[in-house]
Amino acid sequence: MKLTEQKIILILEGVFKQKKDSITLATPLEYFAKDSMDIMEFIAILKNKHNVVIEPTEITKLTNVKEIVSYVLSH
Amino acid sequence: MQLIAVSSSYLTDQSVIDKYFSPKEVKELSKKVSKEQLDNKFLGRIALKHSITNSNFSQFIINYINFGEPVLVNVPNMFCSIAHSYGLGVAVASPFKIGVDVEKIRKHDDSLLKYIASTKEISLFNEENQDILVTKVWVIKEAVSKALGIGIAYPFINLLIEKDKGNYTVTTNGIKWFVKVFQYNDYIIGYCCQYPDSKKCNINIKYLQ
Repeated sequence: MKLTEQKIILILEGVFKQKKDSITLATPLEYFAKDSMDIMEFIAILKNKHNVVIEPTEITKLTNVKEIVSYVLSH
Repeated sequence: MQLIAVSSSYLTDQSVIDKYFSPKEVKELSKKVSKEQLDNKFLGRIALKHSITNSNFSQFIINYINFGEPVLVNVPNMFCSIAHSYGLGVAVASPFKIGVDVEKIRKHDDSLLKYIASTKEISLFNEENQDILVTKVWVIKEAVSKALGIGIAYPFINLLIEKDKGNYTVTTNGIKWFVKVFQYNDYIIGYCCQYPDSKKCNINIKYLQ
């Protein structure tokens, strides 16, 4: 399935156990990404289901959902 | 040595915070974090302070270096490791390199296990519950990555789990780490050191709740 902004947010809400529509582009990463295991699960889903490869160290430099979406869509 | 596990029920009121932390430390920890994140930080730090002393807790200063590796500023020649997950903090201090991790058992996508472990590694575990299985694999590798001071920067797939006389081991850069992993309520806790001998790596586990 082709990744879109909406799809990435849906994946984030699923992995980080957030309510539907609770995450927006402005949501800070630290609001929901509290555990490195969850962050790695997000990276694993992108790789296994969408063939998008992201380095764990890169994603921890991002600060909000807008930056995550831009980063993922550019890889 | 003691591995201390502190659950969120231990944070009954402000007097507990005052007992373990100086106002300066609380102020530093409170920057840009939610109440939940702050409580988890408190739990990990209380666990570490308890692993090295039974009094004057607030005098012990904890700093972080490299990829989040904790150091005890006023306790030289002591290695330490801290972890927390969803309301449980664990820590241990030791004269030799050591690593700990804890994770709450929860639902994970199948992609995670494939991303962090090979089929051969997975076959070493006699565990039918997939969520417990992926959590054990993660905790073993994360404990070793913490002992190495590398965090999640090093690909977990390259930290190869093997078995040696019934112990889980992870060998990296020619060093073999022996890992103990066990379940405590809804959590998996693990710790690792370079010694298979339980006399050298004799760790008692104490729970504060």
